[in-house]
Amino acid sequence: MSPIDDELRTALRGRAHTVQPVPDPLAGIERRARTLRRNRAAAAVAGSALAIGALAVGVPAVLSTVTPAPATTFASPTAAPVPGVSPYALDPQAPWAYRGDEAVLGDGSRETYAREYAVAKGVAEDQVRFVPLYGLRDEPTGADVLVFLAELPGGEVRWGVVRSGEGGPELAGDTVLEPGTTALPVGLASDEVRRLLVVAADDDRLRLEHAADGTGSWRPMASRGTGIGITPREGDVARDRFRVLDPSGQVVTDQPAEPVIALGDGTEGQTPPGDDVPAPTNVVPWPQRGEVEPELLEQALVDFAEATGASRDELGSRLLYGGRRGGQVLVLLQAWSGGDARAFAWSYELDGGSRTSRLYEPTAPGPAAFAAVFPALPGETTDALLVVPEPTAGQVLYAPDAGSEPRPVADQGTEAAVVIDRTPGTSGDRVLVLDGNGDPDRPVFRGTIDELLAATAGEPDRGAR
Amino acid sequence: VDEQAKEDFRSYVAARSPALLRTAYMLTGNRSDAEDLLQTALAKTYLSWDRIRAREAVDGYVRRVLVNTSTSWWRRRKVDEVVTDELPEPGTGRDASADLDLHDALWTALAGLPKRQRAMVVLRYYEDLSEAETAQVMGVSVGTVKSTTSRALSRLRETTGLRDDPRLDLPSTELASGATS
Repeated sequence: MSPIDDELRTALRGRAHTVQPVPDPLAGIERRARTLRRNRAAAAVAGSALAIGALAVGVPAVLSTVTPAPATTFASPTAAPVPGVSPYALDPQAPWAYRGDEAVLGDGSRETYAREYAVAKGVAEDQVRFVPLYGLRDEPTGADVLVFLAELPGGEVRWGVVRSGEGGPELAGDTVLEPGTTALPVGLASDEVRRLLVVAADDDRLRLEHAADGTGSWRPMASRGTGIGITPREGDVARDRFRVLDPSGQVVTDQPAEPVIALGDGTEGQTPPGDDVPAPTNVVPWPQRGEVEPELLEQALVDFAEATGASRDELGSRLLYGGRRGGQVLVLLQAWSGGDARAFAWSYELDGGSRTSRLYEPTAPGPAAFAAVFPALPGETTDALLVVPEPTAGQVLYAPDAGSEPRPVADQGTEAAVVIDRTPGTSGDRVLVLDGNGDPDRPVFRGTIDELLAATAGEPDRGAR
Repeated sequence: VDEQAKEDFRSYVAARSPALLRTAYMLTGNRSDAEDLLQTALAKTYLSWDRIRAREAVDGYVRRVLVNTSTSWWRRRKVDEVVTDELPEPGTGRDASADLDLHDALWTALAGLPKRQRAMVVLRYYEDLSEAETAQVMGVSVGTVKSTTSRALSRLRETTGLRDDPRLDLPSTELASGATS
């Protein structure tokens, strides 16, 4: 036992004792279970055609007897909304202060967002007054989301949401700011449960509340800063409402909990030229894992075009994984040109500049994971086995031979994608991809590496060049 | 889920949710996210309730779901911690106000750890799990628990600005491990 052990225990327990129990811990669990079941079922349908022995995500229909939420009449607000123009309305001439992560605006990002917005609106940059209101940085992906106000030439005032992307800012949407607007509801994509972000006035005395399913039971929204609230959107959201209360309890606004602007699922990823080529249905809508320098991605696509006889200009593509292993850049992508998408594994040796690539057969619908083997660099003794599981999967376990028990891969790598040292020529090694709960009895994939490779494989290595 | 099983689940939640909420709070750092996390974990448990034969193992299952959910990379949540005005209970002995500062600093520093490091610290020092038990929950090797925890402790010392505080002295083995990991 060391002093820091003791201090940590004391500190954590001291904090824990301040946590008061939830008054009704069962409230909301059944609704969330319904949401999870629905989303998992959708994922299972998407993956049902997998023909490599993968186990689809299956959830027993254990909630078939769940009693629906009572259809009660929505409770009347405790007070009428403030008549006239609320002092908490967003005034374009004196807009709310910026809140949120300062880093979202740093390194010239604010100017970039303003410039790109002007470009999107087809006006000169200096003719747009661009006012950031709230920014958040998505921790795992590093993507930023910015809610802003903008005044265009002629005095038109709009508000919108922009998100950072590998290819630059992406305008998620903008709309006219109606006079007297007191709250900006934004839909955020999420893992399992979508959420509603509400940006209200920068007054720390405001209370933001949410009522689900028209039950009339108001609960405080989780705070993300002064006048900023966030809440899950699940279950029968058609009757969800949110409201903002002023310090005296007067209702500033009470409105349906519907986003005016909603972000997509955040899976757009790195999109090189050719993005306008229509994507076939076997392109997986997974988020990009890791990243790769644009010029290397471009080289990979040129190599794909060469391997398939397609024109580079007519290629569409989606990067699945980009990363490094020692002095080697590893890329796994899907690309297409007028037909089904095919996976393509590509590597680049940083010192020598040699490249390897492997072209796979058209991707089967709904894969649980992609895998690729990258040959060892000169002087190295192991190949790199890359496993990129579906986004809701959990840990990846690996058994180096048929007689070994699968063990968790120590370094889970970039966003659940793993790179495993694999002895060249190995056969019979196996991989187990757990579900998001880490339940070993319900893996999303269990099989040999060869089976996993067979999900996309077909053609031999082209070898180092 | 039949009626008896549903009743079992309700009883379990009623009995264990206060403790589980505290664990969720340790993992998330604020009350709202803790409630959200626990609700998700219990919903997932509910979906699996029929398959959890050994009721005495439910706590372990829920703990694993809590940790997995909180550390899931796809959990698109910003960890912009909401500063709480709740103060921890003062320690006993020594200078209570100094201890309070130290514990506040540790709590704040904990929020800055990567999620997996934070989870391991919580499992080891709040849940008091052994390294082997922590490894089982996290699905990693004992060695990974040791090295990750060591890195976390070193980072806590760094970020609290209390590297030289004798109250945070590390044993020599941990220092060595942290230095090499």
